[in-house]
Amino acid sequence: MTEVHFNTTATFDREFFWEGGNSVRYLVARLKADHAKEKNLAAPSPLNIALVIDASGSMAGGKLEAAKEAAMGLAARLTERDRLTVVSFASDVQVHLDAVPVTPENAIQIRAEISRLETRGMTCLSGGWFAGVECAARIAETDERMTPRVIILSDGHANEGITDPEELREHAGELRMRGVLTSTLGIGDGYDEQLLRGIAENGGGRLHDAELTSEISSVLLGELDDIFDTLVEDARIALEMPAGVHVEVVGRGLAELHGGNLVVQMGPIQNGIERVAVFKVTCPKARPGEELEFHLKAEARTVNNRSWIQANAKAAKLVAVLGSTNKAQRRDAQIAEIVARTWSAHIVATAAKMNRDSAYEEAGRYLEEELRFFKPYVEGLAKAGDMIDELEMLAQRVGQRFSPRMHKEMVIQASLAMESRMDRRGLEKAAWSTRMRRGD
Amino acid sequence: MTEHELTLEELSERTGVEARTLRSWVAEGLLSPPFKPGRGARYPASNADRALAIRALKDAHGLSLSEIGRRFMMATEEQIREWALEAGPTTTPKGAAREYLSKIRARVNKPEPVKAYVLRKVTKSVSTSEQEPSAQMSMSSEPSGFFRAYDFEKKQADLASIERLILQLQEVLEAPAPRRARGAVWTRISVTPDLELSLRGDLEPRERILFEQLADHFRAILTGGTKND
Repeated sequence: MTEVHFNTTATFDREFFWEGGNSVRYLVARLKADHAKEKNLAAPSPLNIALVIDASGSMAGGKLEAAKEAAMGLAARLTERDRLTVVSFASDVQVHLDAVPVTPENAIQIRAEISRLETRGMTCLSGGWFAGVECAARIAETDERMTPRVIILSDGHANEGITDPEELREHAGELRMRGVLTSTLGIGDGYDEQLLRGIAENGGGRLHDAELTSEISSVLLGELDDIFDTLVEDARIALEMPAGVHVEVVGRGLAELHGGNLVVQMGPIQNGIERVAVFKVTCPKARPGEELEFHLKAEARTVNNRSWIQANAKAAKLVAVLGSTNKAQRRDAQIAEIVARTWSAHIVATAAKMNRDSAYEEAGRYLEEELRFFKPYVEGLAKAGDMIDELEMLAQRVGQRFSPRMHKEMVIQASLAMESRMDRRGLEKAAWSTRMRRGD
Repeated sequence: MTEHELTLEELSERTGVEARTLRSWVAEGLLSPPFKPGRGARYPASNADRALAIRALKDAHGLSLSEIGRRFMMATEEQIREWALEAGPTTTPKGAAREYLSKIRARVNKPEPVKAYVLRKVTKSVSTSEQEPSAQMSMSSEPSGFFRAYDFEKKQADLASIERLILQLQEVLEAPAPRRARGAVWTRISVTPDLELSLRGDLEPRERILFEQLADHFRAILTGGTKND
């Protein structure tokens, strides 16, 4: 019997569309997982964690030491039911702990092995990652509750082994389909945020950032808290659409068409946290009164017993009306605010990538085009002015190269907003827009 | 749309390859681009065979995408169809993660003979794995062929020097190199008669020195000689 309530809702921001066609409406799917009981009485599943730590030369000067401290802090929070793998990678790959049980007897040796990590050579991220997967996956083959959870800590760009970001993303997705989840923690200003984001998103994990060396420990332990709080993983939404509509997913890269359904990968969902997916729907011409019906299904795998659970299917519809009725209709402000938040985060993440890739003119045109539609949409919403101010400032400055830190702040803060996650670096971190205003 | 054209979604359903992956294969030149880009783009139906052939060459033959690209350049359509037939069912294989990794490693190992894979495990009281660690996962290989004369420790030192140089270059340039090639001015630094570094834009003298040092390291690695030869 399942211990998790898994629910979904599907709501349009407006209920009517213009009969003449090309109306744009937003469908918001909300997913939530909660413990069925007030307190989960069953023992949580044991953890099978692989820490894959960058030990390249650039990690010298305190970063590796902080990562080692963080690894020891994480080990201290595990129990003898849990397994810990520690791998370091530079030009070579070293397995320091191979899925060892975190027993009191092993504690001293675990600390000793972690303390042996030393900086050396370049950054063979793929080699380290795969070695961590190998150790953790072997354990999962004998105990399927032991989901391999790999956490990559890196401060640099992959420059040995497999370095192509697209290929690494692809491997992350393939490993996710084989039950291996990968999260990433970028350290400092020199890492490749697009690469680590791609691995984490495709790998069914989370992207984290530690701007300062002193934040590595709290962020890594934050990821552990995220794991503890996760009730379901590999969550996915399937949207069945009527003929003639055009649908795009706002802000989520992982959407594919399967058998006529648009499937969106949502990754892990924590207890009580609502996750959203926003679908931008462009409507066709229709006769007044004609209905467009959408059906939404969601499924996910429970952390505790690895079984698949389905949320009750939901339907949402749009009705074609004459222009006057269409104009007179009210919109659902709460849904519109979710749309605006997700849309804004998507614009910020996209602009960060374009700026990083030196596509300044394209970024300028992109922001101009998005703002043309975004401004009228958010009119009347709470914080509309702030959102518009931020994006207009971004549009003014995107023609010049942003600092590596700015790219990271934009990407990590967009990810946090889209995934309803807490910033594990602390609450005092300044917003990207605040940093941009003060000229960081 | 004719039967000779497919949308990306149709191509994905026909081949069992995710649309995202198909897009990346188009970007890498392995699949033909759409007849007309944009919403609802149509692709040649021949892409279905090519995508299945890529799957087969990747999964069954363990080839890298660049190697597959080279084979495609020489292959007839008939040969590509034959490879496509080897692709098997179009559903995504759900094999074990370790099996997947072994395929990747087999592929990666071929063009990268210099990689060292050092494995060490804590004492038996800590580890409970029943398998012997070093033999089971060792990927170490003796330097061979082109790299035979190249001392391993020296290579490590050279790689560390390159890493330091890259960090210095990043500081000088204040950001990682942009991904998109723009502008017409290029500075070329010869490494060997067959190889050169091409850098977009004019270089400051300090930048030029750092890149020349980088070229020295590359030359030393490739020729097995010392950095200052």
